[in-house]
Amino acid sequence: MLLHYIHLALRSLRRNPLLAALAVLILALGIAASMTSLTVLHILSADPMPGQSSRLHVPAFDNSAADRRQGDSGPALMLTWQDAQALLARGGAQRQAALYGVAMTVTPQRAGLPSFLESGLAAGVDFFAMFQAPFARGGPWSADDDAQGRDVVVLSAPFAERLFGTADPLGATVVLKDRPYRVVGVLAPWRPVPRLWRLSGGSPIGPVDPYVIPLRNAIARELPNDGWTSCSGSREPGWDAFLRAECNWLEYWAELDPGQVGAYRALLDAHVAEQRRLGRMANADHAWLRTLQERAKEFNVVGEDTRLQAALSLAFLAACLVNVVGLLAARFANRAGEIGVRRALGASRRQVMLQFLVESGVVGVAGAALGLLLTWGGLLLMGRRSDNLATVAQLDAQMLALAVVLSLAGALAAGLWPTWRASRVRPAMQLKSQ
Amino acid sequence: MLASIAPIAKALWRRKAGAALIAAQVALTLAILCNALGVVTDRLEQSERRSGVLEGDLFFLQVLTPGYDDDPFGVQRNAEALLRGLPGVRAAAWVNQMPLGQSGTSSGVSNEGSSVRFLSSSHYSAASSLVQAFGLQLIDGRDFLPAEYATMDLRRTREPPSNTKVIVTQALAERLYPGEARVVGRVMRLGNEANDPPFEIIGVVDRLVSPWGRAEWLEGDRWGERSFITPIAVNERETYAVRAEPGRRAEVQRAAAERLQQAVPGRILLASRSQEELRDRRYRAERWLAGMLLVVTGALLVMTAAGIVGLASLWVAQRRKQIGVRRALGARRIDIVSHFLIENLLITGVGVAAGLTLAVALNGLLVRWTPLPPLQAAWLAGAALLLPLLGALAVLGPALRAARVSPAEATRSV
Repeated sequence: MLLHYIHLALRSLRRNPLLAALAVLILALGIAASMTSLTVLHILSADPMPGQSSRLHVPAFDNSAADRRQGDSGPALMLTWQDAQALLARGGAQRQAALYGVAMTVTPQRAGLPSFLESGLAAGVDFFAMFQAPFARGGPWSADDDAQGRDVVVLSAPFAERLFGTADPLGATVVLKDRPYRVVGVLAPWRPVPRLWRLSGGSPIGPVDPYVIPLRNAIARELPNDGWTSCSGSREPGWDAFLRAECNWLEYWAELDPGQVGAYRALLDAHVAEQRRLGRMANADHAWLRTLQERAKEFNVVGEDTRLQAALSLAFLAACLVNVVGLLAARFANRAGEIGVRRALGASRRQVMLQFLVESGVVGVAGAALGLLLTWGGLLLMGRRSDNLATVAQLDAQMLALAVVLSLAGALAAGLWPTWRASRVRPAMQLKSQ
Repeated sequence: MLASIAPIAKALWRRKAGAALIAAQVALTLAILCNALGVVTDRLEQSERRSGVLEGDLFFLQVLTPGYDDDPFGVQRNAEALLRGLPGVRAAAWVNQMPLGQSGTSSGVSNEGSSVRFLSSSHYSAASSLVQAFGLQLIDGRDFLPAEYATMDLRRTREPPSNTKVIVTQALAERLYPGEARVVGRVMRLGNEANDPPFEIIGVVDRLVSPWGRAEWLEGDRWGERSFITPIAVNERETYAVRAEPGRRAEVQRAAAERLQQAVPGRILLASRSQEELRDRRYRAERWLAGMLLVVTGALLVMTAAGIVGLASLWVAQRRKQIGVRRALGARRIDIVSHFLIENLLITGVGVAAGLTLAVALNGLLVRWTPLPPLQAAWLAGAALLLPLLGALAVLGPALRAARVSPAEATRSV
């Protein structure tokens, strides 16, 4: 029976193709507009490390000057070297790492490749385990290398390939800012989105840093922060003065067991109390501990325009659906005579309803198919905005399913009321007026 | 005319479902239209706003020169001289940051009596005249004299010389000394403390945009145009601003990049960007959003009009007999047309009323996420006029068709 109705639906769509095509097109437009913006929203608000992300925390302090601007309160977004160093010494977490961005000239050993400037990451060794970095070859540097800040480096997969081609980079040297670094590990292809560990630098959907060196190595080499730095108060010239100054520039991550959070907060507050005795942090008597989600919100990872676009495109979808309701109602109303005849020949209201629902469903399937095609085109177009967007603006299975469900449900909902009206046709009235 | 509204409304009430659909469509369209166009104009205004520099002629070269750490100011001077000597180059200067380049320095500044403090402003430092290199418009005072340029080695000091002069933008001048006619001769403190060094303001330029354009850390600066220039070469990244003769930017940029690289063995060219490219990169997202919203609202208007045409056609088809009867009873063609027009006006009127409420509600929802320009009364009024007009246009075709129904049709098939 259902097959018969599908057959009937296709025949009737063919009989009045313009109206049907219009309904399909409008449905597809609504689906495509909302799916394109929902996909971006979905990607940016995704959890790149399910299970692990709830364990990651960011400590924060208010180290503003005693005489600060009115209305300014709350913690700084980043840590000073003094505080990062003190927290690393105190420990208290399963893992902890401070990190910042560096930019160095890279002198490739391969002949024919000129030197170039490349940004990378300076981080404590715990960084790799905390963010579940997958290694293809080798592994993180040793605890001793970490503490001594030796010249060792971990390369990302594309960067290793760029420098060494197909040769094995493990144990080879990379010259970074005129100093040879020993390659101890190469990461497997890895692209967590959003890239949450350094939201203060670069795009949250950017690729993984090409190279990672030990934090203490970068500090010892006086490599300046290639990113957001915010200083208050005056300071002397030079690197040591910078490290001592109230300059906020380091990211700090602590991995905590759920039971550890309370104790860690107490540890942070103790640090604040100690610093207050030393004459710092006059404006707050406690510390802050942010979760990863709060951190993403602080840095506005999802972005206002993304939300705006999603909200407006959902409103657009609603308008499209209202329009499709009108179109289907017009289609069905035109066929009152046909319904009258069918009813007079013994079809029940339910059967008439089913037939027309199937017809709405066919419109929905066609709309979904075209809508997906348009979504794909929209994402392709969006990808041309930047390489970063191109690699992430892709439909995953979840979004694909959502698109199909959205358009089918939309078409059926849009068909519901016209169908109900069609089934109310009184056969006698129609037959009389023939 | 007015007397005919009552029967039309009555007739409409019998077809309330279809009418409600159109009204809902109109309401949604109006709500989306007002909000989307508010965002579109804001973003386009932002991305088109004049930066204060001669954008067509200006480009930047970023390089890494071997030996820069040992003799930064010598390297800068040599590079500037080389660039100035190239054919087609009007001016060149080492500068610490690029307008709309998306990275740079902002500093808090204050005025003489510290009555205005914490005014975050973008801080341009240059080794040579930016008025020349950027093509800035001086509206008061003068440019720096050659003798006023100084160098500052950040490894040794962070204090600029005490007799440093500054040039500020009009936007900064107005905030530093509100209500004062002239700021030339007054001072600007680099920093927020009373003991921070006061620098004499010697000139005011009409505009110079920050490296970020509008940015949240430039509080209260809607367009990101609070900027100042200090005539100090600093040993920060090597960026050279080059102004070409009008119309020769592309060729000069290519030649300059090549010559600068060849001049010192091992010099790395990090980037070569025109000011136009910097603007495009900075505002790509804004333009994308505006374009997408324009397409969506355009589609929406077409769709709404199509919906009205569709429903009106259906009603005309269903009411041919009644129309025939009315015509037979003496109704003129114009009466039939005006019937459909008034009917449509009633529907869109209800839609507009609902839409205005919806627009305000949607705006209330959206401003929680994004700094939306407030919904302007003019927008609402415009949309409230536009949509009934669109509806009337859409219904005109079917109404004219209805008017052509012959009175004889009333006699058929009775």
